[in-house]
Amino acid sequence: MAITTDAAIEFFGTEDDLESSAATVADGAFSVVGDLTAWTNDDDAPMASVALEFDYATNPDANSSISLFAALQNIESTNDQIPPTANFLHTYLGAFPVDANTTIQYVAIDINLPNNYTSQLYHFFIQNNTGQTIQASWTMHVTPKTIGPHA
Amino acid sequence: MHVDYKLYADNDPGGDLTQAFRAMSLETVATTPIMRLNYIKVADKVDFGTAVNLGEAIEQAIVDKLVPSWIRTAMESSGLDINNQQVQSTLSAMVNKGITEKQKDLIIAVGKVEVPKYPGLKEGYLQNARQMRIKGTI
Repeated sequence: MAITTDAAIEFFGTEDDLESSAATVADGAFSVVGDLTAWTNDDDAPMASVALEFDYATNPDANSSISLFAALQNIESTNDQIPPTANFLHTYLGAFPVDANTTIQYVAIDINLPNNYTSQLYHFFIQNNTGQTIQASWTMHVTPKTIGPHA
Repeated sequence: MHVDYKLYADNDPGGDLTQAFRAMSLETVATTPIMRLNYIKVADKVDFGTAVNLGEAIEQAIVDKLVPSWIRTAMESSGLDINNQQVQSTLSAMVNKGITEKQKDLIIAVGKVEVPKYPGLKEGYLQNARQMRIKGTI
């Protein structure tokens, strides 16, 4: 069925690769600042598709997941949200379901972007809840998107 | 659950993360929770002969009016908390009056329970604790 003119559809921005020198993330750990490069929402998009790329040396737990959090930067002058810890999670964005195997996995989810000002700067963090260590050099890809009328 | 990153950092043996995590996971501490022992449990956890001797010692203590007779009832039903200091003192008073010093020690030892020193510890908690310690936040 064709989507009619002016019906609401998604429009996608350019995918940004959060170039990674990410270290391993052990079970229960949060990633740290510098694992992923910061990301600027240049288009002030209200949402994004984020794809996590990762793998394991040993099969992770079945039906486990990796949680995604954000620490918004410069939300009051140059003051930032602090990175999440197990005792204060801050801004939860979603969870990547994980398959129990050791091949490289690519998992995409949609997230809302809680922008605080134009061109919001984000630090993204993951929390490994999979029972095994995520290998180094994992990375994430962010594609901002919005909704508009079909031409 | 509150994660005590400082505790983990303070007690981190250092070196390889996985090995340090395994070492800390194996550490235990002795606790003395409320532990009611009756004759059946003494027979199970120490040995049958000790339970028999303990019964004889308590009967003699009742005759000697060292303990009230409800102790007999308690030991035949729900039992007494072996980690209670007064129960231990009473037991010590029965040494050489039905039970031996060794039997007394074995009965009291049943009350000690080893539990993980760091319950709920995950390798990642230790990893983050190390990172926080390096940054100086803990």
